[in-house]
Amino acid sequence: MRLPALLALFALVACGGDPGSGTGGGSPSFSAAAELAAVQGRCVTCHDAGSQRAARFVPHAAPSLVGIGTRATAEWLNGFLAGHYATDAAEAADLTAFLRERSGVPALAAAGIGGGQIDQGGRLFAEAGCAACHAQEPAGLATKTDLDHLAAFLVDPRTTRPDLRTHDFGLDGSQAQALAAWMLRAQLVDAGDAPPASGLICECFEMRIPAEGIPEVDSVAPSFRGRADTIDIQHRTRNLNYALRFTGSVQIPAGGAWTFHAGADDSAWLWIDGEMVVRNPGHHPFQVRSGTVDLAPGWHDFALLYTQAGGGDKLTLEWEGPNVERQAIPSAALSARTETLVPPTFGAEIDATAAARGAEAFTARRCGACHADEGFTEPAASPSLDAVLASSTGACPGATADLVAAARPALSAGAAARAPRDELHYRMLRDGCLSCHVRDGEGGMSAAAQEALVEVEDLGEEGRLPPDLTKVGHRLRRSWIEAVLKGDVDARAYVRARMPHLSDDEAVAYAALFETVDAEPGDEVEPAFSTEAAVEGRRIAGNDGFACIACHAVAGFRSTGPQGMDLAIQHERLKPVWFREWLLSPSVHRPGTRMPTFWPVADDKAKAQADAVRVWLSLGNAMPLPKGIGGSDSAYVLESDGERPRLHGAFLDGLSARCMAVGTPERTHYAYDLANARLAWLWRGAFMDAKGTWDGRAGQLIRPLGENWVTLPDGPSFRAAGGAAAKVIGHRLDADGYPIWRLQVGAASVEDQPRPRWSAEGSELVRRVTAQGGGVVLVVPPADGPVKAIVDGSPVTTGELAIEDGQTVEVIYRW
Amino acid sequence: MVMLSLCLALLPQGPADDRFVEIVDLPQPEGVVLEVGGILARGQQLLVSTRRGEVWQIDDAYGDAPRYTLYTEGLQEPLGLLEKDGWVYVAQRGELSRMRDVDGDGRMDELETVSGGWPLSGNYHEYCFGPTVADDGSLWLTLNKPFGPEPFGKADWRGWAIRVEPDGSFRGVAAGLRSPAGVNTAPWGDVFYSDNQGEWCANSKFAHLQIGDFHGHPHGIDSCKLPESLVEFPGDVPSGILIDEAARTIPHYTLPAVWIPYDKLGRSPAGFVWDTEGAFPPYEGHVFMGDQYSSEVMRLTLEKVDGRWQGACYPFRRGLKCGITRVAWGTEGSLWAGMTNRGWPSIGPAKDGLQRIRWKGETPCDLVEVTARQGGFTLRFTTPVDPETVAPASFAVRNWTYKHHSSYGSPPIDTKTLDVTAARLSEDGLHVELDVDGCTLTRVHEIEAPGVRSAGGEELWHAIAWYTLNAVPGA
Repeated sequence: MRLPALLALFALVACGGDPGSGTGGGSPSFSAAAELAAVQGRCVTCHDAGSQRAARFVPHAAPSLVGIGTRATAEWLNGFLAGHYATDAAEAADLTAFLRERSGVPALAAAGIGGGQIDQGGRLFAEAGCAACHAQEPAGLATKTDLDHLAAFLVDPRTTRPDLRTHDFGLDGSQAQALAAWMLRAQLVDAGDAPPASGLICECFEMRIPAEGIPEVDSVAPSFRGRADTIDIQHRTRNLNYALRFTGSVQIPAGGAWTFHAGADDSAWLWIDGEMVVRNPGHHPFQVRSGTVDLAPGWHDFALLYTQAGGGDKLTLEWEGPNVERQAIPSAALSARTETLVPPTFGAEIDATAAARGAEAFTARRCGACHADEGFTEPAASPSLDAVLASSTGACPGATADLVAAARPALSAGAAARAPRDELHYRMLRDGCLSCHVRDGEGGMSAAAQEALVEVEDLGEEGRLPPDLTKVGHRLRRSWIEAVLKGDVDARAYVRARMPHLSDDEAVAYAALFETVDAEPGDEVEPAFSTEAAVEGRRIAGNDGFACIACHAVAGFRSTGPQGMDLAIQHERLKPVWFREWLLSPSVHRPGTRMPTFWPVADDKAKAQADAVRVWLSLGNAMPLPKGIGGSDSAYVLESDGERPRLHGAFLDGLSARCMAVGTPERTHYAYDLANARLAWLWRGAFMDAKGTWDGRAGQLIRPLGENWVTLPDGPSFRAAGGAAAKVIGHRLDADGYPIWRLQVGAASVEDQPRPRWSAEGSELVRRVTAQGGGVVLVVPPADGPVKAIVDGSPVTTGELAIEDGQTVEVIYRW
Repeated sequence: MVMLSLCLALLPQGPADDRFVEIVDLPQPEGVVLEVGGILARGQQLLVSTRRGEVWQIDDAYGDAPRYTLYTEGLQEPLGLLEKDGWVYVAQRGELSRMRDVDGDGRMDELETVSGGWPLSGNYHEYCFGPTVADDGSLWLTLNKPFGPEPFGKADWRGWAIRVEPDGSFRGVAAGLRSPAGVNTAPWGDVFYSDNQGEWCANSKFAHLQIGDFHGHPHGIDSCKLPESLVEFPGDVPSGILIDEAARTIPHYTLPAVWIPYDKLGRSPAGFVWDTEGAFPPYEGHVFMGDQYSSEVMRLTLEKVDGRWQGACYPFRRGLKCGITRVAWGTEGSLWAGMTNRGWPSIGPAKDGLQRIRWKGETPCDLVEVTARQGGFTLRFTTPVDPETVAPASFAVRNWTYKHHSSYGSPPIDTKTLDVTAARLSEDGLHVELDVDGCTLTRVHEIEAPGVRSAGGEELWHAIAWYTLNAVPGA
């Protein structure tokens, strides 16, 4: 098997000396490269190796051959097989005939692509770091397949290539199409001669849809861009507040009056040749609006804009005209007509005789042992592994001599399970981790691949290259490593080289291995929490301290300089001992780093200050912001100035039209529903975007920014003993500007002040309630819900709390 | 750019305005957005509520460096302020509240709900205007009707004037309002409101709010059936009839005191005040009203004929920087104009802010008041006019009516040019009696005096008025 990736591995082994000692401290005789050769050679598939070796050298899954003939050309298959295991071109042609006969007729199609899509794909190839493993010129790809098949593969590689454990780069449909267009750029034909490609360009825009008028979709970047053969909502990227735009041309078969019927929930507008033909505006359930226009036969410019604010979403477009009954517009009559990629055509004929010879060769060469797709012939029995190893030739009809030679040391020596350090090293080699990352001085990107990477922030090489993974299990929490590998978090958005997402099992296994191999005793002992330390840590991070905010974002707020890694995630990400080591002497740990050395001497005071920063960071995304950061580029995003709360009156989605949201310096916020006398929402982090309330005619239903958003149970917060309804009758503001809500509940006057407080668990809301003139019942969240109500250190299990006349009660809401 | 050139085209011989009244900007700090909803002018200080829910206390408002303090925020579209009994009353979308700053640090300390309970559908256009104190001491508010989505369900009392009772409950006193952006109490105690042209509102208007009246818009009339209503249900409201027929046939239908002809004098009138103290001396007792589109302050006069108020409107001062929502008297003979054009177009370069119009002292020769008389009108001028220029040919009179219908506004219907048969100047040179053939009840009468000159031979500052003739004195 001579795949480029494998060759690259051999090259790496050759350059790197003995990779077996790479991770340091592993078994002295261990060779990760040999292990990998044994696995990639799939030796134990055919040869009985005993249970220990069978478990150690579990073979890679082989590519699926199901439907191979429908997505790859005969020419390409011939070429590939000639270089794979076939002995010569004639045998390759036989095998090709056999595979094509089995897998059905080819189904490659020309594809219209938008202008600039090829360039976009080229940029993505370079930025994403594809060149770490792949050649710039994808040999033979343009003669192999078409845009749709390649794009589908890029989105979901493992369906046809189950061996690719680490190739899920989280590409969306439009990125995959662009990347595929770039890889297939040799298929580009002069647009003038191209057959019209079917499909329109479809773009999805995630944006708040105004109550009236046509939204300016070009003010936001599309969240999807690709081809669409039908006009519907399948390319939406969410189901609320989005717009879809379809552009291209429509082919009118016969001249005359054509009527277009656009059905939309909520809105749609159709333009033909730039003239608005159908207008279906407003937020409403599905309704159809029609328009008629006289059109000459031939291609006409076509643009359709659809918007969805809330509720159900649906879009249809039908036409009727001379000799055409009302119906959906056929795909063939819709075309982006920009650029066209034309794949090579197939010879339709399959030589039956050659296919029969191919079948024999397939069996003789035991191809079905690896390509175990349903229906392939069971291979004949093979000699045991030890028998093969004992023979001097090692010749194998299913593996090259080089591979056999590379695998031999591992197969001869390996029996028991690998030691953790060896296992980790082997896996990193197997999964290509070392093609991008350095660990213990081994691996890393080639100079050429590094050159292709882009620098989006002025953060030096740390801002551009995938990180060094030396001692990563000592530095990062196991849970964070797991989340990175699953693709749940991305701390280095400025590194545009893409990290593949691993399966949950793989991520868990890797995180456990890093922990086992790298962790040191006590590296997770946290400094003690105190409010004083949190205040001091916040000061140090701000402009009155070391101004960490000059290079680090905080809780999503932009730094004042380059946008270095967000500080708010560091407590979750870094282990405490490493955090202190790193802060105190960054240049020792990473020579050349841009991180300044703030403490010339790492004395006790320095350690205490570093720990104070750690304590402040323990508040997570809801942390109080340090001085000098905050605010927003948007005139509408509201945040406390760090001194006083922000108050925002608005229509809140799902609550009522009379609500006040309170955004605090503690960055722990709540919304009070005045119409329903109810503490309704809690959340943390970013506060509110007032655009829906302050922009244009406004009046939008608003939801919070931020995170940890919970909605408390429906119904008023209070009731009187006699069942009288609670009514908000105003509010006072305390000296710090926090509202104290005043309610009338039957005979009782109630004061209700929710005010956040920090604790070692993060932040919590303390609700201080006083009743005068009568007793009331305070309704608190149920014990089994996401919010715990705690009084005097004990959870309230009954869902309510009696407050006597004259009594003041403090209830802590923790979530 | 289109708006700007339109603005220039509409301006009369503008520079002359500066001879009599000047416009002074209120300096506004960077980052402060003053989308004015309410103005309270007290001494050297302003309290300004904004559509963003903020209330700003602005000290030294007449100096070069006013000081801004955020009095409070988080209110919902506070579109009116009123000082009473040591409290600042504020009209929010869903409630009438009152606020005070107990410790005098410029920040509000407490807010009480005075009245609430009128529902909101969650539509942006459900504004609440006022309050104003009626002669019985009660507080009146006007409630806008929605346009478009009503996510929390259709709400009662939209398009109503309501009266807040001492116990905080309210009564619906008048129905059929559309976009009643101004409401205020006359010096003699009657409450008036202004409305904006649109569906069921043939033209912008200025109307007396009387208990039980229906002003023509059917959106909220189902609320007539609620126990709090003081208006009888008017029944189905027909669309497409002329105003005189509407007045005759629709139960409780009320004619406005003054129609303010669309595009001849603004488009969207809003807040108004009476000049009770002669801040603009020749116009003492008159109404000054801002327009949200044309960024001008217009003037109105009223007279009571046959038991009902009617009168005329006149241009006064154009050229402010943005659409005007609120006006309030300041010191130094000046009128504050609070502005915003968020959500609609307006003439002028700004999107929000405050300016004031300052009286400079010189009295222009101006057509100051038109009143009705049998067989015509009496025109009064601020200073004597040249007798040589007073003749029928110096005047032009036209009249028209409107159509009451569900479409957006009505063009002038059945416009007629009337014959001026005589023009008699009084001995003091200040009054002209015009005899006019064909004056017709319920119609708007456009009266121009293009040929009249001052005793000194100058053109009049303004020479046009629109008089709404609902009744003729002594007829």
